[in-house]
Amino acid sequence: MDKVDIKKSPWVILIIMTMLDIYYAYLLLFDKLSVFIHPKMLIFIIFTFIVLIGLTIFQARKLFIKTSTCNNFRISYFLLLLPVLIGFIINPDSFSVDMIKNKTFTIDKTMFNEPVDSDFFESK
Amino acid sequence: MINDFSIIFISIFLEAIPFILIGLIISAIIQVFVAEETLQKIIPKNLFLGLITASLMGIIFPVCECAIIPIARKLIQKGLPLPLGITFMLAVPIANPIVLLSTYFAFAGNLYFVFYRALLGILVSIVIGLIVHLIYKNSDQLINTPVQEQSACCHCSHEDIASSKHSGNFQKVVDHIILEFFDVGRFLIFGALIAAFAQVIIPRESILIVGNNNVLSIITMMSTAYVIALCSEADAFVARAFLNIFTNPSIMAFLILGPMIDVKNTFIMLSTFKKRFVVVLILLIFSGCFIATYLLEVFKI
Repeated sequence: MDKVDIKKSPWVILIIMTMLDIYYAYLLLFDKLSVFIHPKMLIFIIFTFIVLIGLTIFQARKLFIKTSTCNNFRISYFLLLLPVLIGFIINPDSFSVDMIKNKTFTIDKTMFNEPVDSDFFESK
Repeated sequence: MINDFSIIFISIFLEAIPFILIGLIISAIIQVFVAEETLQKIIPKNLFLGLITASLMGIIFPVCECAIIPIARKLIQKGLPLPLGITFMLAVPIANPIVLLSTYFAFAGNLYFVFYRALLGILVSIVIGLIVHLIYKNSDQLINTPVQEQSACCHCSHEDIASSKHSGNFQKVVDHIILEFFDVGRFLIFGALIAAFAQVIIPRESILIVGNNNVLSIITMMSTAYVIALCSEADAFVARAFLNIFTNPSIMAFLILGPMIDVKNTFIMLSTFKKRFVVVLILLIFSGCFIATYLLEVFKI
């Protein structure tokens, strides 16, 4: 059996892109986005999801047809799996008041993992 | 702490990716459809005129700092002189209608922040463009990317090269987007990791202590803008939270430095420009923003 050279294989890029697609689908379908970003950003996340799906389909075509480009793959490209791995393994679903004070963004108070005074929100 | 770190890391990633993709789509279209001769015809021959034109491109090119580096890289590859490319890269994420409108709404119609954000952003970008011209002229400061390496034929078979002549432009655009997405994406991850780590370990209270010191508050707000790595279309809403705690010039420093450079863009720049050039550029941006906003403080503007 031939040894697979991941630097030239379209499979590796395809797998990473598919994992990203699955994570975006998970965030959208299970309404997990409010933990991470403002609801106004939803349209951009849908845009990203559609573009990534399109790119994945084009990458998948490379498995069956000869294309002009080879995949000059670098091992560091695996870093793109980090958000997916953290998202699925740690699966963060709530955040502390300290973090909100540091990040200084406003978000739905039901997402906190500890009680928050109403004064906190009024001061924001 | 791990939970907070994860949320901040993923939120930075999710916020940046859409704009990076927009930038990559535009840069791939430029790569495939814009001829070098066309660009050279459009660019003014006079340096000052060119720098002013580049700094005002945001009016017709309203993209934020997440998208701008791939576009600037492609324009420089296509023959845009380096100083003009740098001015374009630094000014567009500030002096564009979307960012200025978000600043206007964030500060409840206070035109001081809108006007001086645009003015200082443009002036600092032009000055940095001039300094880059003096130091580097139009030398090649880009590093080879996988796309460039590929176009120079990396490890492709001759069969692949032959078939490339027949591949469509659309396929080329998509191939560019995929490869550059992976190339830029890994640096975004590095930047997001550092930004998330910094936000988890540095308490906001420690930043607020220096709010009333003129010099320290500017330095602190510039460092905050660099570390929290916000999109320029949203950073004004965060800057507003510091109003009345920090001086107005220091908030201005936050508003003009953040779109020019932050921790995630540093890593994306490292994937684009030579290391030494990136270091010089970061020093110029910090110095330029500090001097510009300190002058606001000195003249009580």
